[in-house]
Amino acid sequence: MTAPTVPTDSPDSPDSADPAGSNVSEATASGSGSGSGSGSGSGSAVATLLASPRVRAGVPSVVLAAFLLIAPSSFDGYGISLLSKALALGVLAVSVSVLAGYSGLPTMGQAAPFLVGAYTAGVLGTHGHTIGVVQLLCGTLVAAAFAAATGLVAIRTRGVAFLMTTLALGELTVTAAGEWRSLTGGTDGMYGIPPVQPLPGMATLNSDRNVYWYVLGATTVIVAIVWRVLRSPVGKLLLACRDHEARMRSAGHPVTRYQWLAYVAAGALAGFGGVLMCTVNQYVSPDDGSFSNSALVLLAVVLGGATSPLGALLGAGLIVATRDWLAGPFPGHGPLLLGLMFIIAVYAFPDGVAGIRFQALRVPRVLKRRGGSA
Amino acid sequence: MSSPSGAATIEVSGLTKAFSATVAVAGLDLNFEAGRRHAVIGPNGAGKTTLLNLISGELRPTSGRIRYNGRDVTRTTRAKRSRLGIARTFQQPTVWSTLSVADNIALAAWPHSQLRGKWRRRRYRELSESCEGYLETAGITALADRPAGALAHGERRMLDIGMALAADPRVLLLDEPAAGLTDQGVERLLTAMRALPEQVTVVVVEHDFAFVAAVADTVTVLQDGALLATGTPAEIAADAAVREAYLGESAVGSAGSGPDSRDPRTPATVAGDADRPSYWKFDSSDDSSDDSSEETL
Repeated sequence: MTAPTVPTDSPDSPDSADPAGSNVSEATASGSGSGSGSGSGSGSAVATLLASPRVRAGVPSVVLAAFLLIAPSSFDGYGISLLSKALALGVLAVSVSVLAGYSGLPTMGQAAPFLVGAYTAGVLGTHGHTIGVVQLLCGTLVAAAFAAATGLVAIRTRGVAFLMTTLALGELTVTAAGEWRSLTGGTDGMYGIPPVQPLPGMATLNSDRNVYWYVLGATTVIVAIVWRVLRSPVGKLLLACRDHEARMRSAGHPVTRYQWLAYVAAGALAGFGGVLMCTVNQYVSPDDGSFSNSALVLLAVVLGGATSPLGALLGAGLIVATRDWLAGPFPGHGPLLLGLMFIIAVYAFPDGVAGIRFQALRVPRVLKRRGGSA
Repeated sequence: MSSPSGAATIEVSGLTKAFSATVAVAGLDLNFEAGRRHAVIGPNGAGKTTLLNLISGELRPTSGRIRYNGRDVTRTTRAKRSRLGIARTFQQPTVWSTLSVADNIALAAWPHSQLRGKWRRRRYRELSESCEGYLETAGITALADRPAGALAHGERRMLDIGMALAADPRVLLLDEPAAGLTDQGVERLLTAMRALPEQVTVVVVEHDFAFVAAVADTVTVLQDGALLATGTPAEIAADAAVREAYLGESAVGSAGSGPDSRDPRTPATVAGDADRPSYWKFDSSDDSSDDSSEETL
C-alpha cells in the first residue's frame, strides 16, 4: 500500500531529505545529459524519484501510453492491426485479472463471453448496425447476461473445480457456436462483417490505423473504468474474499453474491474485448473462443502481475508480439517461443511485469556503487 | 444490521453434531444469558470449538436447535447471523492479509455500518465508541497503515478481536483467544477483555482454566460433547466431577498422588507442571471441525 519500507537513500547523499518534487528538475537534467557517466549525485536523484510511490506507479503507465501513441507512426499495416488485436486480447486479459487476480477465481473459460461479445458485434454488423458504440454496448450486455447465467453454475465451485467448470463452459460455448449455423455461420465463421463507424455521423473506419485509434480509445476508457472500480472499496472487498473467504462470511459479507457480481462484470469486460476483436478482424469464428485464447490470456495475467490491469494489458501485448511478430522468422515455433518467454518471466519476474517497478528500485543503488568506484 | 443495542441470549437445545462416526457435540442444552461472560472449557476433543462453530453458523447441526434472542437461527447462514449481531474470532487469527489494518477493520464493519457507501481510509473513527476504545487499548490504532499480513501473531489476534467488535455485536464468540500468545500478550488480552462493553454477551472457548477464571463469571465444562457442569469459576474449581475429569491433573498433581486419572484420553494438559498457567501451549488441535464444509449462500 503506502509502502512504509521505501528504501531511503544512503545518508551520504545530500538530497535524501528533499521531497521528490524538488529533484524532478535535477533528474531530468541529468537524464538529458544521459548515458554512462552518471555520477553519484544524479544516481541518488533518480533513486529519490523512483522511491516516491506515486512515481513508481506512474512510470509504467506513462511508458505504455507513450508507446501506444507513438507506435502506429512507425508500424506498417500488419503491425498496427497486431497492436489492435493485442489491445482487444488485453481487455480480455484484464477481465481474467479481475477474476483470477482480484477474486481468487482462476478461470479457463473467459474466452466464452469474449466469443459471445464478438458474435453479438458480428450479428449486429451483418444486419447493418455498424455503429461502434452500439456494438460495444450490446456486446457487453449480452456477454454480461451470458456470464450471469453461467456464473450461477461456476461460482459454486472453487480452485481447481472452478478452473474445470469454466473450461467446460468455455468448450460448450465454442461447440454451441459451431453448431448454431443460422446465427453464427458454423465452424466456417462469420465473414464479411462491415467496418464500423465509432459514433453516429462519424466516418466509417476503413484503414488499420483508424481502427487502431478507435480500439485504443475504447480500451483506454474501459481500462480506466476498471482501474477506478478496483481502487474503490469494491477492489478491497474482492481482495478480502480472496484472502480469507470464511472470515468475510463471518463478518457478514454475502461473499457468493460478490463473486457472482465479479464474474458477471468480468464477463461483460470480456464481451467488450470480443466486440473490439470483431471490429479489428471483421471476422468471427468459434476459434476466437478457443481454449488456447483462454489459456493465453491467463498466461498474460501471470506475465503481467495478477492484480494489475495495466500489467494484464502489457502481458497480452507481450504474448501477441511473441506469437505473431517475433515468431515470424521461425514459422511454426510460436508456441515454443511463448513457452520460453513464460519460463523466463516466471523465474525472473515472479510478480509479473507490473512487479518490475519494485525491481527498478535496486537499479539506482547499483548505479551509485558504480559511480562511487569510478 | 439493525444497530444492535442491548445484550442477547443464545440458547441451544438438543444440539448434536456428528462428523461421520465421531459425535463432537452430543445433545447439548445450554443457555448463555445476556450480558454475561461465559466460558466453555473442556479437554481436547470435548466439542468446544464445534459448539462455537455451530453457534456462529460455520457448521450445520446434525440435530437440535439454536435460538438467538428467542429467534430460531438454526438454518440461518453465517453471514446473516453476523448481521443479526453474532460475531466471532478464530483459533488461528484470521485477517485479510493483503489489506491494511485500517481496511481490515473497515471491511469488518462494512456490512454493519449505517455509513454504507462512505469509504475513508480511517473510517474506524466512525465506529462505535467501545470498538474505538478497544482498538486504542489493544494497540491496533497505531498499526492502522500496516499491511495486516505483516503483523505479529499477538497483534493479529488483537486485530481479529477488533474486527469482531467492529461489527458492533451483541454476542461475541472467542475461540481460544489466549492460544499462542506470550505472557505479555495474555496480559494485554485480559485488559482488553475486561474493557469489553457491558452489554455484549461474551462466550470464550478455552483450554486453560487460569485464563478462564480471570475473565468469566460463568463456566461451562464440556466432556465428550456433553455438559459436565456449569457454575462460577469458584464452583467449577471445587466441583468433584470436574476435578476428576479435567482439572483433575492439577488437583491430583499437587496432591502428589493419583496414578489413575479415569479420563480415557491422555490430555495434552498433563505435560508440564500443573500450577503454571499454560499460556504458551500452541496445541489446539481441538476438533476436526475447523475448516470443514463451506456452505454457499
